[in-house]
This record gives sequence, structure tokens and C-alpha cells, in this order.
Amino acid sequence: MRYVLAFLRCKFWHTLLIAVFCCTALFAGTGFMAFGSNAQAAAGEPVFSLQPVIYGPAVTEASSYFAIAAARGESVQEKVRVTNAGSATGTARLSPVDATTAPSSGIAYLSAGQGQHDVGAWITLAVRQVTLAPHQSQVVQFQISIPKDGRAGQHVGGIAVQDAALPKSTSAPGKNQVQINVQQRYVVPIVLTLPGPQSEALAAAGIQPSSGPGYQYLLVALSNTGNLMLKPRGSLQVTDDQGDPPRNLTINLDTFLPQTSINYPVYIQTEALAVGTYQAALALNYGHNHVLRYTTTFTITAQQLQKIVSAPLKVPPLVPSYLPLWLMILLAALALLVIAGISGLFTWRLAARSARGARKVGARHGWNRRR
Amino acid sequence: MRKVYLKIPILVASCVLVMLLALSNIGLAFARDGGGCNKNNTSCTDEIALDIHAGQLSITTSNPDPFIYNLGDTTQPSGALPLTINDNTKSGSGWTVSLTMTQFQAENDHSHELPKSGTVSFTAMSPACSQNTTCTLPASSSCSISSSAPLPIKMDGETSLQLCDSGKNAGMGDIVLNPTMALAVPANAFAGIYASFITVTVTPDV
Repeated sequence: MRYVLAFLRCKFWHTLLIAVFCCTALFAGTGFMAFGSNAQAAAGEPVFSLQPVIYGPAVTEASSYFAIAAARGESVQEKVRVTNAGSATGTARLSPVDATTAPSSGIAYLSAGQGQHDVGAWITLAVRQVTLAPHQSQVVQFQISIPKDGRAGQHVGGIAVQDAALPKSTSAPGKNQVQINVQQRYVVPIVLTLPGPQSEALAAAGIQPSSGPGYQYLLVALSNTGNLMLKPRGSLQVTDDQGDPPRNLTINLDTFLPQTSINYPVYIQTEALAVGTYQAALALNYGHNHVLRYTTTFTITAQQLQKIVSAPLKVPPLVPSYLPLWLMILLAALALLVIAGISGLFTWRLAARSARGARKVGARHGWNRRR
Repeated sequence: MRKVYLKIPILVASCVLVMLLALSNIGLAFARDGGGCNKNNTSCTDEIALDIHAGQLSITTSNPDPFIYNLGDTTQPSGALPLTINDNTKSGSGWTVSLTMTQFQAENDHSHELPKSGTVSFTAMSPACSQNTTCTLPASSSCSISSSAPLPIKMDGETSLQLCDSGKNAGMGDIVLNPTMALAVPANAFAGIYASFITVTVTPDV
């Protein structure tokens, strides 16, 4: 007891108590980071995200986007929660935006500065700017006014949020440099379905080859001409006229929005397609048991092949190493004709010379006179 | 002596406070519900309920280091774009990251620009879990870039490039993307400091 009391009396006790407190608090903090719900934000920056407050009845698995079925001419009231998951106070700028299909498929949301003609144009936000402290959130109301002449089927748009402040520029000493300033944006999708006949339709309009340093691809021009979102899957078979085995290229498109068109790149792997003319056969499954079949021809030029120049794609010789079979037969026939012609001419001249010689000999010996 | 006796309750109170703080911050609620042992006490069953709260989907990013390039250099500059996706929603609904980029403009003379096409492409990306964390990696078919299939970006500030689609039931946790950006500065460019703005967009999958 005496020793315990002596220990408690000494100044070391105070230090120990503070150390234990700090260590435990630190442990608690670590636990928070490991198990807590908030994202790790960039140091000293606001990070904004959005969550639907009222979920659509069709969305059962997640609360991450709005799925709304509405009638033409109707006005729909919805709410979205804006949260600052970052570590600094900031002002969030909210903007309604349209969606389109990205060049390599998938949904891409337009920037606020671009003209909005669909869902983005139908949304009216109660407020467009919200200032939030770290981990603070605010609910913002908005209204979707569906036009009376809205197309039947699915429409996709969203509400975007980003820091109202411009990103800080990073520079290094020196005159020749390229700086990239990054800004974050979060978009909560809104999928709006309007009543009317629904159609799944996909069309192909052409295939064009293209290439760059180390790669070669075929741009497949596709259009979703229906009014529902699609995720086409299938293949592109490429055959040449030289009897080579066909190349089967797999195609897995991400979301393809209705009434949009893209040039989808299908990359050539391992060895580039050589100079020549090719046949392409496209087969894509989409929607509910629909198949798009499309065939066309395209030509690879030496100029396109020269652009590849480097690994990892193996580049075939610019001039074809062998000729097509029909051309070989034609050339062989031509060669035979030439040989036959030359030998015929030679034989004829030889025969003519022999006849002329015989006539001369006959004349010398007076055979004609005897006759 | 009185001082020492005062310290004991303070010590006990501090310990209790710290433990409460730790438990509340960890945010896990363990609850024993039901269970019990059989008659012979040879086997016991305990039920532990774990309540995991859903969080946010967000991006952590920062400006990449400036690319230094001297005109005429044979090697074109390249570097990583710091980009981490934090999917703590626990929904498994998936997410997509896309970006737009504005044209490079010289800081001192805005009439000097680098071409909109063919200047920047993303040449490599292999998603990985953030250090010392567990995650569900995105589907490799829709979230990886190789040099044989690079992703060139049109730098008009409008055309969106899809960088990664995690796919359903994937991409959960903190996922480091850090794609490699390769620049192709044309030989006829004016020397100077050029700047561009990238907007990285994360969105839940529909």
C-alpha cells in the first residue's frame, strides 16, 4: 500500500495517465477510420456527394439513384441530400445535367456549361449552392417538370455537385511544364420512364479502321434507335481475302442510352491487321433476345499501319508478303501466255528460217528449174 | 494523502470515459441476443449481431506532379493521376468513374494551345485495394487499361472518357486507380507553362 501511495504521489503518474489517455484515444480514432462510414477525404478539402432522400419504388437494392415513373405534363417533387465528406468547409455547386453515351459506351453526364435538352432541362433546384462544414449535410428539394410531348421510354440525367471553388494549380520551378488541375464531381443519376410503347432497337452504320502509337482499332458506328437502355454483347469477325484464319473480337458494351450514337472502338490484339481489304461480320445480342447482324468491308492502308510504329502491337510488313490466290492464278496464266507466245514466236521464226534456207539451197542446185 | 485518494476516482472515471469513447467511435454494435447452453453445458451458442452502417461514395484525388518536357526530347512525359474511389455504401450497386479534360493553354499567352486530340491518353491502370485495407476489386474487363488498348481523351472539356466501371457487387472499399497519363507534346509547340483542368466524375451505376 505504501508503495502504491508513493507511486500515485509522484509526478510520473500524471505523465503516465496522459500517455494512457492519448494512446487509448488514438486507438479509438484508428477504429473510427477502419470501421466508420465516412470516406477518407483529401487533406484540407471539401468532398461533396449526393444521396436520394426519397427512393423510387423500383429501386430495391440501393438508394444510390432516382428511378421515377411519371406521366407527361406531370411535376414530380424529389429531395437529395448533399453531404460534405471532406475535412474542410466548402460551397457545393449543384447543377442539373443531361446524360449521353460515352464514346466507349457507359453513361456520361454533360458538364453544367453544356446545353441541356432532356432531364437536365426539366429539373429546377430549390437552391443551387450550399455551404457545408466537414461531415455536415443538407437536404435540397427539386422539381422535375415533364413536358407534354416527352418521348416514351427511358430518359437519363442527373444532379451534379462539385466544389464551387476552382482547383488550386500545382506548379514547379521551370519554364517548360504541363500542369493538370483536378476537380471532383459527383452525379446522382435520375432515370425517368415515361409511358408509351417501349422499343429495343440497335443499328450499325459502318466500320472504320484507325490506329495510333502501339495500337490499332476498328470503330464500329452504332446507334440505339429504341427508347430503352441497352447493354449489347457479341463479337466482330474479321476475315481477309488471303485465306488467313478469321479473327474473332469480343464486344461487351456498357450502358447504351436510347437515341444516342457512338463509334465504339474494338481493339486489335497481338498483331495488327496488315494492309489489305477485310470483311467484317458483326453480331450483337441486346435487350430481350434481339440480335443485330451487320456485314461490311474495310481497308487498311499503309499510312494507317505506319502510325502504329511501336510495340506492344506486332506490326506486319507494309507490303503484303504474298499475293491473293486469284491474282497468283491470273499472273501464272499471264506468264504461261507470255512464255507460250515467246516460244511460239521463236518456233515460227525458226521454221521460217529453215524454209528460207531450204529455198536458197534448192535455188543453188536448180531444183526449181528441174521441176 | 487526501490528494492521492482524490486521484483514484479521477483515474477510474478517465478509464471509463476513454473506453466509452473508443466503443462509440468504433461504431460497431455487438448485441447478444438469444443463444444459451444446452442442459449438460457441453455446448453453448451465442449470437452476435453486427450492425454495419452504410456510408458515402466519393473520390479522393489531387493534382498530379507537373510534367516537365523540353522540346525535342525523345521521351514524352508520363505520370500517374492520383485517384482513389471510396465506396463505403455497402450496396454493391457499382460505380463509374469518367473524366473530361480541357485543352492545354499557355499561361502567359492563351493563343498558344496544344491540340485537343492526340495530346493525352491513358495508357495503364490496374486497380488495387488501398494500403492496409480490404476491398472488392472492380471487374477487370471494364476497369483496366493496357498500352495495347490505351484510352485517348479529346480535350474539349465536354467529351467524357469512361475510365472504370466497377460492375455489380464489385469496387467496394477504397480502390486505388491511379491511371497513367501519357502526353504527346507536338514538336512545333511553343515553349511555356501549359495548364489544363480535369473534372473527375464518380456516379453510382444505374
